[in-house]
This record gives sequence, structure tokens and C-alpha cells, in this order.
Amino acid sequence: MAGRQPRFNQTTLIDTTPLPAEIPPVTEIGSSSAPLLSASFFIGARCKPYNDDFMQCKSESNGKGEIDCLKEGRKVTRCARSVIEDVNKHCLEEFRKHWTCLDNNNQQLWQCRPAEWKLNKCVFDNLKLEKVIPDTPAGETPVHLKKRSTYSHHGP
Amino acid sequence: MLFAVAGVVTFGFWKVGRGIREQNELAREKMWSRIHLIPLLTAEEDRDLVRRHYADQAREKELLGSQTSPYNSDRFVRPTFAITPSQKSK
Repeated sequence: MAGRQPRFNQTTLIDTTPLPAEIPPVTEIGSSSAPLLSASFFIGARCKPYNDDFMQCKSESNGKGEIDCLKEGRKVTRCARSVIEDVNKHCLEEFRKHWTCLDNNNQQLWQCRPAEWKLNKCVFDNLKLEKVIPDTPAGETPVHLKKRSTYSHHGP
Repeated sequence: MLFAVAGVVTFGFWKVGRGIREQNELAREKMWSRIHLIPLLTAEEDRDLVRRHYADQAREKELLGSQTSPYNSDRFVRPTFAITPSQKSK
């Protein structure tokens, strides 16, 4: 057992000072984990260059990445936000169904394949973003397209 | 009898193998979804840290009139302690 009681001080850990004015503001992504998980592969499909840029900047800035990589970070956030906004605009219903399903199923992606297929189809038709899992073994159906899922509650 | 048992066991292991393969793929899917999200989450957190850092520095400047770093390097150090207000305010 830990020797020190945990203290949850999130309610008092408040510092409302805004960023200095010379740093351009950016609207935060502002969505919770399930929508993000649901949209993650679309974010990855559209924003991979920005993401890679940001991570490279972070790893190359010798521990000063927090301050030096703000610009790249803003690009990452803007790009991800644009994806979420586009998905909301074109596929709101499917998106909502999928992430509600994820929320209700412990965020296990394999429980929500039917909703995911609908969302993927809608997003591909409207935004041309496709879910691709890299490094999937060749000659095998990607796991998100398999019709039978061994671990799903709703039968294989 | 022996052949029947061998058959059942073979079938069982075949199923187990398929299950493990599928689990590996599910793990890969989850990992990649996380990989796609991590830059976004890191960027958001970094902005918050930098905001607090600058606020801390401004507060230090205001209170002490000077800024001194306790560290012998110019790396960004995540603050171990944070100042909390003495009373809650909106």
C-alpha cells in the first residue's frame, strides 16, 4: 500500500492566466476520449505530416520541446480539429452512434464494428479519409473489416 | 478414442491460435489509434504547461523582482509543485 494518501487537487489546481499575447491562440480540440478514439484513424490519415513534424520537433529539441514546439503543436491541434469538424458536418449521426457505442462498451473497438463500418463508409465517401492500420500482415483481412469477431459480445 | 481426443485438442489449439492472432491485430489497431492521437494530446498538454510556466515566471517577477531558475540547464522542467490559491475562486 502506498505510504501517502492520494490527494486529488484538480479542483484547486487553478491558474487562469492566459498565454502571453504574442503566442497565437488556438481553439482546443475539446472532445472526450470516445469521439477521439472513434476519429483517431481519420485524424491520422489527414494529419500524419503535422503529427510527425511535431513529434520530430519534440525529440530534436533536447528537452525544450514544450516551449519550442508550440507552433507545430498548434498546427497539430488545428488539423485534428478540422477533421472532427468535417466529420461532424458530414457524418454526425454515424459518428455519434459509433462513439456512443464505444462509450457503452468500455471503448473496445471490436464491440462496435457495424457502427464503425457505417462511419468509415460515410467518411470515405464524403472526406476521402480511409482507416488503414499500418503493418497489418499481408494477405490478411484487416481486423476492422473482418465479418466475424471472436471477442465481440454480440457473437462472432 | 485416442484419435478423437487428439482431434479435439488439435481443434482447440487451432482456435486458440486464431484467437491470439486476432488479439494481436486488435492490439495493433488500438496502438495505432493511440499513436495517431498522442501528438494532439501532447500538444494540448504542452500548451497548458507553457501557459502555467509563463504565469509562474510572471508571478515570480512580480513578487521577487527577479527570475532565477533552480536548474543548471535551460531544459523545460515539468513543475513538481504547483501553487494553489488559498481560497477557491471562480
